[in-house]
Amino acid sequence: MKSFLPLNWGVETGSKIARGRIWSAKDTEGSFRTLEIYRYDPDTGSGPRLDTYLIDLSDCGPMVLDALIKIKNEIDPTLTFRRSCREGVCGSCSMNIGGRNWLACTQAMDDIDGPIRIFPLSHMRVVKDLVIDQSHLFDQHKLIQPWLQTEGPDPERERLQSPEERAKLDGLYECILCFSCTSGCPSYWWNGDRYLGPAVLLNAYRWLVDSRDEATGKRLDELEDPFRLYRCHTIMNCTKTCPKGLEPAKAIAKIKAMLVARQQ
Amino acid sequence: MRPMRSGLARARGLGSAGSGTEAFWRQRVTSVLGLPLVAALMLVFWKLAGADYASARLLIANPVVAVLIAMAVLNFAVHMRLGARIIIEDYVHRPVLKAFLLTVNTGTAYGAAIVAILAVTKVSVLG
Amino acid sequence: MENKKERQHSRPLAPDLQTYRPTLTMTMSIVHRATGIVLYVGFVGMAAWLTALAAGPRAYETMQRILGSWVGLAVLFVFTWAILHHAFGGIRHLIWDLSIAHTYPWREYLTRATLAASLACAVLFWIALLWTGGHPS
Repeated sequence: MKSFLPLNWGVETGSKIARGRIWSAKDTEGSFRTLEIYRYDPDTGSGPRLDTYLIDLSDCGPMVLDALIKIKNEIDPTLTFRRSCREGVCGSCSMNIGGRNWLACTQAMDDIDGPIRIFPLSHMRVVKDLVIDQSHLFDQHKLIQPWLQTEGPDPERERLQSPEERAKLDGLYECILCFSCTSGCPSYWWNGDRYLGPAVLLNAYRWLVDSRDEATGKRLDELEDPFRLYRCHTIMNCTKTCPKGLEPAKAIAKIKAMLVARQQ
Repeated sequence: MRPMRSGLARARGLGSAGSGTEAFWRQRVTSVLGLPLVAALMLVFWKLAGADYASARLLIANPVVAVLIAMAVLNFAVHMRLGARIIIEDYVHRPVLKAFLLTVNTGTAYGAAIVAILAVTKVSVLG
Repeated sequence: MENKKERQHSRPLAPDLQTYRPTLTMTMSIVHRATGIVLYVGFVGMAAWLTALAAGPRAYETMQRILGSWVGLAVLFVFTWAILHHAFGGIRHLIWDLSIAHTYPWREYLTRATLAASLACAVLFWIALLWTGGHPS
């Protein structure tokens, strides 16, 4: 089953997706891939549409991002999307590809059957084409105060941390804030205004578990809220979709365990 | 209406409620206690299958059975009230409707529990 | 020309359930919720049944007749499966709360196991029920 609902069911009026145009490459020889890409231009006043692009794979890299860049360079320069490192470390090109939130630069086209459907990250406000409005996501990130908090004067040299203590940050510091997980969480879809979402909570846990940080209690106080934290029902889409192989659901489970521990 | 409040202020909302752990823990406790209780209930359900009035009353009047049923009713009333509360909070966002449904939820869960326990008590006392 | 803030409110919402590829885990999660709702109704039903038993033989016999009908039995079977699925799903959530089996493939195995166990146990329970002489009255 491709999705729970057909394409335009239960969608706000301004968000219904119309059929768009079909673009083909200049010379159509060799093996082809079809890409169906969500388009939205805020300057035209019309709603979103789904454009179809036919890509000649003979001179295109293997990843979805390669195809997007090829389209922008050779077929349609108006296609708008975020991208930077092209190697899965910056988090810019996260989008919904083949029904799954992932990074375009690390998603091989061969791993998807049939036409490759590309949408912006699920349930996000769209600025243009595949670019979403991330301001609320980053505001929520700011809310958890993702920096070291200590009292007292700074030490002469570095703050000491044993290898075991440092190991606790593994699987947490690597988060590139691509928000694939958060935008794949149904709880975030229905309560994203108040629920912080897996990415922000994983980053919150990163600071909770940093031995050099002295504000653990205050951080937990901020998180202990029926909506900020406890909208997580372990649906598990986050861990499943993380393109860096991190486990936000586990970090959230550990935060809940810390909150229980301090009450008992 | 253009929003005048900053994004950070909107994300912060009314601040952290400082609660939720109690409910989370209670849900887990009633789940764990519920496992043997639901097994016991299913055993009682098995024994009740096709039973006539007299045998059914005899079974429920049995003190062990009565106590197990009462424990199960109490445990699951708490558990289901919390579960329904989570569902209402997830999907209902209008404050008045939400408050109303949460109240109906508490009333139904504990109301049904009281009815069930009183019925079991009556059967248990009268035989 | 609209200003930037006004345009923000006319921004379309990217699709979610319309495009997200259903995962086994998210499907089982919503089924867990659905079985919970079914059990809530069942709890109220159980209170009604106990009331009928306490009320007297006529009330009890009416209740048993309804439950013994084909529709009634079908409802009871679904209810049995709902209890078992919710219980096994609950165990799965408790295991995840302990930070166990979050990664592939254990996460998937655990999810599949809850579904398989609930179906198997529901069928076995009803076979045992009908075998040992429980019969529709």
